[in-house]
Amino acid sequence: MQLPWLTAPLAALTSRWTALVAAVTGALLTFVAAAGVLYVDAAGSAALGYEKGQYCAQLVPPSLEPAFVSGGQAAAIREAAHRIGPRYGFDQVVFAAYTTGGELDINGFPPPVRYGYREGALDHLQVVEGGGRNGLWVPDNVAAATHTRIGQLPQRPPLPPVSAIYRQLHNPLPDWWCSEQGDVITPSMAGDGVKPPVVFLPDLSWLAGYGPVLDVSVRFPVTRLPGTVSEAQDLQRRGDAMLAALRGTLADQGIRTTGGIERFAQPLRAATTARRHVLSLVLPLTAVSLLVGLAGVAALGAQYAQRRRAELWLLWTRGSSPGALGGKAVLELAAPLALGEAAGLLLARLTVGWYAPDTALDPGTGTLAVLVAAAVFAAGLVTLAGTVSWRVHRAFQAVRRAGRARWRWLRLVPWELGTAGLAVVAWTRLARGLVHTSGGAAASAVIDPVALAFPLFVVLTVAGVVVRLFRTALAGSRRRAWWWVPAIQLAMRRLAAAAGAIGGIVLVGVLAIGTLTVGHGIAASERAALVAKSGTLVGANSSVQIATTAVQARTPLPDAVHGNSTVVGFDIGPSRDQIMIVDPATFARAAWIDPGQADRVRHLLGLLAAPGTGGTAPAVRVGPARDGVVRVPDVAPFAPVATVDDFPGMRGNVGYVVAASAVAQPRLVNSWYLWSTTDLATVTGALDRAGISFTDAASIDRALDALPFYTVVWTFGFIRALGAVLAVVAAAALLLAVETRRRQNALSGALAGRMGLRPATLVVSHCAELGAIALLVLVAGGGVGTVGAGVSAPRLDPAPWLLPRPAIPQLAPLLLATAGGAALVVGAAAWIAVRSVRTARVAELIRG
Amino acid sequence: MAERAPVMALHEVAVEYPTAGGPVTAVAGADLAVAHTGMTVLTGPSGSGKSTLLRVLGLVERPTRGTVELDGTVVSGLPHRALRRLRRHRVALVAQNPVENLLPQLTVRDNLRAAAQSAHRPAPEPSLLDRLGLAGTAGWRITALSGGQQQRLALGCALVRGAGVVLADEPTSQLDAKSAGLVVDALADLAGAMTVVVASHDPRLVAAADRVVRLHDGRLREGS
Repeated sequence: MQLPWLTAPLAALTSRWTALVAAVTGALLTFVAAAGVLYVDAAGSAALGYEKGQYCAQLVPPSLEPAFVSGGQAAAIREAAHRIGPRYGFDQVVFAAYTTGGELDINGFPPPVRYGYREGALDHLQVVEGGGRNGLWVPDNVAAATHTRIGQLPQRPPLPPVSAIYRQLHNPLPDWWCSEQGDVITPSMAGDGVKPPVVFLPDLSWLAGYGPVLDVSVRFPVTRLPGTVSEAQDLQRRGDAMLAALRGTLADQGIRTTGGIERFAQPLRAATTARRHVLSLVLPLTAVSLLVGLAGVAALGAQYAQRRRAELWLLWTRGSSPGALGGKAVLELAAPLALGEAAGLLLARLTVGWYAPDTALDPGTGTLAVLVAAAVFAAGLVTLAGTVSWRVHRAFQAVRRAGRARWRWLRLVPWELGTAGLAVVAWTRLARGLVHTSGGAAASAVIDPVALAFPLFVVLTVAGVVVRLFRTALAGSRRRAWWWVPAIQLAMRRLAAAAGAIGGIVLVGVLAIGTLTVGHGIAASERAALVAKSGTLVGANSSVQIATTAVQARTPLPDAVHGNSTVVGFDIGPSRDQIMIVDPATFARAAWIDPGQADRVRHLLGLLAAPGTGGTAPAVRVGPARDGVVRVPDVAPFAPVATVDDFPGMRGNVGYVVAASAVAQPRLVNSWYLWSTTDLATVTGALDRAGISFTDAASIDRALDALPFYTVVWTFGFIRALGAVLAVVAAAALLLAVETRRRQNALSGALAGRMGLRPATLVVSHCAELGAIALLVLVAGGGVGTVGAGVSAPRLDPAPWLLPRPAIPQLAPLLLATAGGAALVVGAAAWIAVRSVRTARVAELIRG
Repeated sequence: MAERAPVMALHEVAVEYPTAGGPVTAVAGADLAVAHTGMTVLTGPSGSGKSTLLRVLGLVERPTRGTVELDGTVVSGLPHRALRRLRRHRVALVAQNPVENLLPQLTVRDNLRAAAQSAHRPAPEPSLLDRLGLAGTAGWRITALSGGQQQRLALGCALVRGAGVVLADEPTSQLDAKSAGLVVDALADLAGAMTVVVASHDPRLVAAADRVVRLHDGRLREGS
């Protein structure tokens, strides 16, 4: 290898600025590529985490739940499960069997009970009395009702004596019992299909004599739940194989099972689908960002070719080919690029918790990210070599002819129409709804990725249109002479002279600010909408329906919920309008109220708390409910004193809100709910202990299928991150463009100075030139981002059937911060430009 | 003895540059034959086409019309690869700005080595620096040399490349009188063994020339 190529890596140090820009460009390029890979996988893990959070841990691995099993068959199932489970890595097996009915006949008052056996159950029950492991374990509520004592023997069927009385299990259940919710918890408000309490047996053999009346469950809990989609898929595969073997073994013994229960299969599919959706959405913009990054590398190559022009010319006149000179550029800039790319890769990995929705990654994801980064690095080197080779060919080798016009028609092609067409297609899909259901019986929410891409296509289209108009304006500016404002005239001329590079910067800038704004706007709006909709649906952080008798008797609320709850009733009015009964004194402190609506709601509650007039109670009319005095059997006559479109907790948004004081007979009201700001476990636990019957428990964090919301949030969260990266690229590109034009700036500035241009005017001129670019980018990008988010957010609503619709948050802080950043970049670029004039040497100006 | 054929010859060479206002003629119908040895000076006012003609002779610019012959072979229509090979082995260009003739990251010695390598020639003898009047500067950076020293080193690079034709564009225009004199002497030395074509209106070079060719508006006129 010849000396100029051998020494090229060290030559990079002669221009630390270029080396730094190369490193930053490499870092951004790899960051985008690696972050894209990591983000998509993290989104899958986050989706899995969300689904996992909705499930009892014991129900995540596959289970076997045959019904109507005889005692003998149950023993065979247990034995087979313990034998086959460990073969497939399921070392823990928890077998349970419950009778479908029965009674505990001890003192002549046989209450309905179920007899049950669960491996390890006696270790997970709280003993109230006794504790022997050789007899029946009776729940305390049953023991109290039947006056059962330790040592008593049931009269039938043949059973051991009572050896322990345990505290009946209540919500919230300990983790060990969570899979047995339907068996061991007796809902306190009676209804059809309610299962009676369980009397636990010390051994399965006591159930041997039972016929095919047992409900059996075999769980295979795992020590560590899967954290990533691939881990979950692996667990599912192992589970499938294990269940197939188990079913086969049991079939050989003549025991027919209805098959394995894979409750987590559907959530796993949902998580996989969410990951695919995120991938399909972030892929196009990631590709665009990578192209922008490669354009940055090309700009670096162009700057290199300009800076090393004399050296390249010398080597070319000595017979070096353009390709060899491109290779020299690679040798010179590969090290800073590689260092930058390594830093970008490292940064993407280390900050995954900051920008991605989860930190759990599949084992192969890191390797994939490295491979993608390596491919991007290779593409960067090819781009660099190609750019320098092309520039050398064009500058030194190509025959000069007016042939550039051959390709000029390409500029006239309205490429924006392509993205505009895609935006129209996305809009029509969006109009049909973002979320659909699929899968028949196992229906799941499916997001339309094309519809989801609408805001992106809008931003891309507007960016293209802005650049086209900008270039047209610059072309037209050649006919303008504003010499009475020399600073502006010079700025205009410089912009027109560098229309190509500046057009690229404007394109990247508008894309950056547009995607940043639209990503932030939509992600924040959907996140807020999830909370608002869940709050509206549940009414508060947690909600349980309580017995009307408790409300009628004015049973005091337990201390744990007394200060943070309110009681809300629902009844049916005329025309089947909803009547919501609230306690004006406690409603605002417990119900979920949109922060922006808090004052309005407090005002309405004040109206409800005021005494009525003309023998009617005050009411708030919601939506198109009938006006005038309303008479309902269970409630005193009431008359609307205010009309609103919606009221917190009123789902249908048609009806009336009245104060609880207007209800004379609470027990006649259809339903009463306890709404609380505290968590559901605390509420149900407190009510259980207080003996207040309840049902229909709901919590704000499980009110809705949040995954479609999260998919939108994660997708636009990454788009926001890409927007931020693109903004850095645009800023770096602007600085690089100014540095590339250093010689022209120096020449024109020096000449203008000789002709009498004041230094201050020169500064103003550069600030005007660069400020105009920044202003255009901010106005266009911020505008399209804000409008795009505003138009898209309500339509990207995964639950349009439930108000409120998503609305964009206050974007002013983001836009102000962006403007501040842009001002800093403009200041730095103007400083570089002016400095190049002031430090220009005479020699470089002589033959500019 | 029969007269040797010229090393380079131009026949009806014209060079035009496309501009928005139509093509601009830099050289029109130039016929020139350059001998194997001796110094030919192309002189003329600024913009007369001296540098353009020099670039055509240096095989770095293709004429719009006409032909260029090297050793009796028409080379103006050769593909890029073939032209690169000829530039590598047969011609050496010396630019007006001394810095542009050298590789700034390399030392004086390494610049000579790099020049030799470019033409696949052996490393130069250390005594070359003495002959160029650059004794003791082998390890110096290029920036430590004066303009005249840089230009003489550039001529040294042309020498070590073994190129039969040295083409220099205004080689003394950025030098003081003393340095310019040394460069003129060096060029005259080279002209004793190879073809030297110089574009210049420096009277010292014109005086040292074996042949002077004048250009005016792109047209050649043999001078005295």
